[in-house]
Amino acid sequence: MECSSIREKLSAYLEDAVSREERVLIEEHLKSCLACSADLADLKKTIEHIRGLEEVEPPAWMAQKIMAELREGERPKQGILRWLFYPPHVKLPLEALAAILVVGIALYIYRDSGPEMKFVKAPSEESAPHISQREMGKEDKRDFSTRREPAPVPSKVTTAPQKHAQETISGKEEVKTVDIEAVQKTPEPPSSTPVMREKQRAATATPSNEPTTFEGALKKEEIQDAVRATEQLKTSSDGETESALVTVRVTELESATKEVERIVTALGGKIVERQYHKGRSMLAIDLYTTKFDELFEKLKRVGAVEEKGPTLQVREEFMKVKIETVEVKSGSPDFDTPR
Amino acid sequence: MRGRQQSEIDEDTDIVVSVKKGNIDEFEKIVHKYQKMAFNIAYRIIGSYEDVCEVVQDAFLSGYRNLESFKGTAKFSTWLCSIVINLSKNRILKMKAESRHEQYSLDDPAETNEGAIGREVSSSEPSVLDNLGRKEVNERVQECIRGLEREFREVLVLRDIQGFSYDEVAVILNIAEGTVKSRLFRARDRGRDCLKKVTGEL
Repeated sequence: MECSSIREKLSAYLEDAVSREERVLIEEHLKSCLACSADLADLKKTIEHIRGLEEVEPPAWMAQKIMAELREGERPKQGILRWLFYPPHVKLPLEALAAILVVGIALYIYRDSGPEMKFVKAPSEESAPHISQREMGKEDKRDFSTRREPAPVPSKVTTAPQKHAQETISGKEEVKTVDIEAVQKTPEPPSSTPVMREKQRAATATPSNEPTTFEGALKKEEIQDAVRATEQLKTSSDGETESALVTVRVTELESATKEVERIVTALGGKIVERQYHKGRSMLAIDLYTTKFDELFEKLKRVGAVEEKGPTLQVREEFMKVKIETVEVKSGSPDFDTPR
Repeated sequence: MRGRQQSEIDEDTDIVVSVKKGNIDEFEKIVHKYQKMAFNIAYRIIGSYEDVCEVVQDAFLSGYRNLESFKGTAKFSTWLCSIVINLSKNRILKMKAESRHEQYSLDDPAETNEGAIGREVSSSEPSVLDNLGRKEVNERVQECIRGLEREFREVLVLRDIQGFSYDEVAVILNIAEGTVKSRLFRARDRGRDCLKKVTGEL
């Protein structure tokens, strides 16, 4: 047997982990081979040294620390489980009930808050025309300056709800408002806001060949005073195909207008535009489509209500409604203009 | 060699059953009984006292949490040992990964004030281990064990230091008994070479 194969077995030989035949072979070889014998002696000493290594003592605190960590880790876990589910025949049905309740409430809140969130979103889109109303005041004056009696109501009534609405607008949108105001100060707004567009449309829709610029309009207006007043209303109702027109005939315009505004606000509607003329007022509002019938019913209390114009088009949850409040007096030209 | 008697095995089983029933305090007996063994195994394999403290604590915590997986087919001591060995292995790999950033390796020869100690360097002065103090001998032997590859270190520690039988070592390391034998041979062979080089002669 070769020395190398003998040496490989010496380790096992030392521990009696070789077969009887191998043992005989190894011992015979060792008798004749000094090198392998020396190797065996070295191996024995090596193992002795290794076995003679002193044991290392673990730190005294270790057992305590292990047990402390065990108890700390286990107790709360057991406690929580016990607290949650013990006794099971009482806690489990209760917990199931609570879970159902939570889901129910969550669904209720979700359904309830859904449209409201959209309501907040909607004004932000429409905020430009809404706020520009103040700015529009100047143009209104130009538009209607020829009417000798600019109705005194607007400033009083408009401020309150508008302020309220403005409060809901975020700072970002306020910045936007500034921009829009700046734009509107320029004589020819490109096509900035719906109101402007509406006005332009109204201007172009007039039968007379008026230039669309306001300067030109200003001059002509003096002449075509009465005609324009009616045309204005007519075109704005005709032009806006997507809005419904409701006419309320009342005996006392000012209080009736306030009452109409109050009804609109109470129904969650948003007043987009107000127009006041002699003997009539016009409110353009955004309203939940579902509230329209209610609005109709409530307006009946104010005066004789008539729905006119095209059938309302449902635009998502909102619809545009124009409420025309007309003071009924004998001799008033408005009395004869059912449109 | 620490003998593991049949009565001890029965005792372990009783304790484990009691702990499994929720008697957490019984586990303290196990900790006291095996902490020294666990500590020494980890110490010979890892080498750093602080790391060993952490590894041994983790091993007992892990043993407690996984007590359900101990079915009693093997001895509790071997089962616990395999946890210690595995956690030590993980710790070494982690230390290696960390030391790689510092351009050192655990397998590199240990550095001392006198210079590098390793298989490459042998003392020119012939000195016999017997002439050295016991502490010094321990240090040199430990250095040589540390110089071995981890696989060899594990069998050497389990067989020669802890005195586990071949089949127990095979169970703990989850390797064949033949592998244990061949690894043990190489471990001792290299250990002997190392000791010779470190001390001049045995």
